Amino acid sequence: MAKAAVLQRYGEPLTIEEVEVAGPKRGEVKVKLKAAGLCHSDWHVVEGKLPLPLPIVLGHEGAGVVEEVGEGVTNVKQGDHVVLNWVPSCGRCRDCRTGRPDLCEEAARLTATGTLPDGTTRFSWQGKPVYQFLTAGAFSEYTIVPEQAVIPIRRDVPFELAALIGCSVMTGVGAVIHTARVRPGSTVAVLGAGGVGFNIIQGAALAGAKQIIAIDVVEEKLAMTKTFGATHTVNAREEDAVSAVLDLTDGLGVDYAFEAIGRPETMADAYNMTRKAGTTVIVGIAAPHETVEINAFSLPSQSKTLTGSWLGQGNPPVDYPKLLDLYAAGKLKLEPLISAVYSLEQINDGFAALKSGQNIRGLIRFEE
Amino acid sequence: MPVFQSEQELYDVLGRFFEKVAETDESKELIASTELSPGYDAYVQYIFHKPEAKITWTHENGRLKIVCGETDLRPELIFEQTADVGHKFWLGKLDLQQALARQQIKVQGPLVNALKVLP
Repeated sequence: MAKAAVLQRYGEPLTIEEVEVAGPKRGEVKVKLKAAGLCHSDWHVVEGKLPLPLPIVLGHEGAGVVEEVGEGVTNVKQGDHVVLNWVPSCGRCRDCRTGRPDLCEEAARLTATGTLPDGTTRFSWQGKPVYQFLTAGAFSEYTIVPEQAVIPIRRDVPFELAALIGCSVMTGVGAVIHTARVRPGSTVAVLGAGGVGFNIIQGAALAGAKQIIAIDVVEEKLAMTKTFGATHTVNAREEDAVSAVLDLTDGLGVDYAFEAIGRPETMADAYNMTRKAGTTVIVGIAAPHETVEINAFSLPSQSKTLTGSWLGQGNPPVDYPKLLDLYAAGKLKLEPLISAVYSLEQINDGFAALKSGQNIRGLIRFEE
Repeated sequence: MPVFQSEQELYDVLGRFFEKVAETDESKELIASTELSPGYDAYVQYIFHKPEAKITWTHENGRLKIVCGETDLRPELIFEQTADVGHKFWLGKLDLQQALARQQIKVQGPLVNALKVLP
């Protein structure tokens, strides 16, 4: 049994339930969660913007300890500290074989079905199956995941901080390093100062960007972006973001613009504030039915690159330990990303704070 | 801080500026040489945001007439932009092609006609 936050119906608060957790099957790992971050992607499911089978245990940015391993598991053992990887790539599909594990077809299938690779989950409640978000189901005291979904980590980093690596840090820093490949001396704009946006900012600083423009509507968060490396801030509630960025870049626009909100309008803004031959990276997740409107003439005449980034185009087994090493070396900030810590029972308060833009990252800390 | 604090302030500045434009020989020549397409009774409408405002160019007695605010006139061309962008544009500090490409200004209607009514 495990205490878990369950979404039963779209648009309604999560309920805390005692769910049954079956043991790990072959190739699976049981994890005792220690911390889990509250991400907009979880909230999108609550809102029904990412339609998935219900009931479901949400949560995908988590860290904990390996409790038990199933037959054949070789990458972790009981007692290992792990971060969850919500893109457990198969290693066999075309995308995996061509060096894009972030686009793994099998992982995408698991995302859509809310199950483990065998099409079932180990969670059940009132005799019926409970699905798990992004293979993880991290808002539960225990979860069962495929072995590819756990990345062993160094033991000297607190679980609360390690959990962040599993989504917001990998996504933000990865979008800069892997997707955009920001070059030293570049100009960068970041739309959205949330968990991912802050990591794009510190990723851009790590990459040596000379100008990093943070754009948001919450003044307190904008002020804080400067401690992560932002050189300029724009409050989009007070001024037009595209015009402001053009003013700050001699009318040229930025070399790289990152959208970390997930709204079609801000995605278009990111494209429109990118300079000719620059790169726009969409990191924010919009609902599947939404479309972005951009100027058709600009496509050939301005030769910009418009692309997206999923989990920062990361390769978790390689990148998670590296990111934690960067933290340990004092080059990545993790503590200030955590705005508030909640118990599992307070999870709806955490989502309310997320929705209002109050938190950079809210975190669930599980009881010992 | 937006350039215009209110709709009225925008009308006071841009509206008056357009009134002066209406007095120029160029605008008189424009009216004399331009025929509106069937179904339209105004040349152009500028829709502004932040603050929300609307200015329409139509004609009366062979002269350009400026209408500030809501109207039932049917403009052949519509330019939509923030008031800040509009202000910068009429100061001559914004390149139209770039502004269109960046969607700072959106145009509905025949762009070729727009070239006649822009600085």
